[in-house]
Amino acid sequence: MTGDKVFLDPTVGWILLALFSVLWIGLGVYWGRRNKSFEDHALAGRNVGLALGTATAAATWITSNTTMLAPQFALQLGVWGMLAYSTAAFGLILFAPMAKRIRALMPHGYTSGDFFRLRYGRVAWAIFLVFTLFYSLTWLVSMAMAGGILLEALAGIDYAWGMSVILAVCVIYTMRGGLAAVIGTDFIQSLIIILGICVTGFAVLQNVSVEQIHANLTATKPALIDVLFPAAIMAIFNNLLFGLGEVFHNNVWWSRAFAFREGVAGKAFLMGGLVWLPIPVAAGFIALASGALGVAVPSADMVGPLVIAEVLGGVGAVAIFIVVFCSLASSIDSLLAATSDLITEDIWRRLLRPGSTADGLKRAAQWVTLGLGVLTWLVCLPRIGTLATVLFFAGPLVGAMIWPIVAGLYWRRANSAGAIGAMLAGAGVGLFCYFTIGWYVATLIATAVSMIWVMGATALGKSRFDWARLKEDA
Amino acid sequence: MPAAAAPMFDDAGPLTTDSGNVQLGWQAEGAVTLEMAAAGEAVPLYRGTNDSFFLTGLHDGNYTLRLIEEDSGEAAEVTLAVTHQSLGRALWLVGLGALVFLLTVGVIVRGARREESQP
Repeated sequence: MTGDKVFLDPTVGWILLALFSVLWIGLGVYWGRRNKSFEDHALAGRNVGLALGTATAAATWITSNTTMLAPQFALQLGVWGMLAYSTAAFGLILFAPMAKRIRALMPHGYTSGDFFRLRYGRVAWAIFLVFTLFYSLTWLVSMAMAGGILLEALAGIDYAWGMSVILAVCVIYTMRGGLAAVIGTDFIQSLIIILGICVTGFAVLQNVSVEQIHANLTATKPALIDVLFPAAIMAIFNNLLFGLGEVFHNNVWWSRAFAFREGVAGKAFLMGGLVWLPIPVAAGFIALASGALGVAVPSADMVGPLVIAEVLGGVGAVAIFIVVFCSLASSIDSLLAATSDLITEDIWRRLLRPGSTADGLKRAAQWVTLGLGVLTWLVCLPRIGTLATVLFFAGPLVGAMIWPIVAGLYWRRANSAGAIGAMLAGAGVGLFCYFTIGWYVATLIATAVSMIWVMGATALGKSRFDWARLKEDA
Repeated sequence: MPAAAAPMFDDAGPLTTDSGNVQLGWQAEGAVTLEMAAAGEAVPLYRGTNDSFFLTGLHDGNYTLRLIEEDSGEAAEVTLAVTHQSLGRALWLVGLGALVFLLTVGVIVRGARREESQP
């Protein structure tokens, strides 16, 4: 983010930061008081109901990218860019039936790593761990960096202090409360975010009509409403498949599938996806209105805060600060919890300490959460990289994992050679395209190559997998 | 009193883009006016004290961007060539994306139906 415009008095910013920090930590400690074992800590006792399940699915998917990058997408790629961003909802919607099957096939499962280890063996598991840890750490770092950058831009809070406070708050309540605290805070955060975005959308429409926005775009930014805008239409399926890959592989979502009460997972993910779907459209619409509102945009990632400050004034500045803080916290806590559980279950328990007790695993997960927080803080401190480019680099990796997971869940004949080749070939070709063509085709190409490999290996394979092998006891 | 320095774009150009948008930055003392001309007609884009502007939504063409310092009247120019990516390649990739997506949906829906019928 460039420019030095500050929307909120730093003192007000610090007060809001302090109030929400105390609230999240207090709730985290309260909700975590019943956690006795690793299962309680990592999976909230496998007893999360529909309301909390829906809210956590939607809130976790509403990152600072949704509230800040969706307007940027719309400003750069127009109406198609706005719709392309919203297609990420299909990740949650299509994960609904998968979550139901995951819960049925793996009643004692903890992580997405468990699936790869049991379904495809240790080589595929190792490749999966490298890919998913790269993606998760990239997402975590980009969220923490975004936190520091946004708090500085919105309220003049120094980058290092803002980033450190957000990260520290999330680490503390995730360490103390585990997934129960993450899901509980997600519920409150999702309500705040949805309310904030709805109020902003209506406020924009009070200031300018859709006809005025269309007329302004036609006169000054015609490509943004061009149905055949090449870069924008290329981004549609690339973004859609990126969303599918992110949700299908990552332990953030698998841990929720394991944590939801029986019969809840499918409905919760479907409803979470439907709740999420209009949010990038509303956020993108704000950007498309910038010209009609007479807002000069110094850089693309400033468009959201600038328009909100224009239409809502001081109240808008407070609102966007709270919405951004909630968006960041709801994603950082989920990533911390899910990634620490993945490391605890797949590396600590399965590779290093197979005989760990339930209490020992819970303590290990808490230490891993703290370690992840410290590592993220060290990476973020020098403030390297940009919001979008760092995360999109992971696109080919997650795209290459879609078909090994889908085929592995539904096809008995899907095999290790197919999964390993698909992940390596898909990610390799996708990364090549990332550098030679652009980010907007990399995930699509990676998924296509991976799909062809899985189909070929499955057609040639003779073995038939025994689903009972996934029912490994804890 | 030393003469004020002329305004200057951060990138002296010529600028190019294949997606119709470009980030402009400049150095100037005080307020500036940023204009864009295509086929001779200049339209104002921005007036104020910012030092950057995000220009977006442009169709194919050659544009001239002119930065005028309000106090001194001094100006700087840079040219921008917009050549969008191949529409044929974009449509081919959309087709490929639709195929991959529909096949993925097909496997999931078929698997879910089979699971319902054979619990």
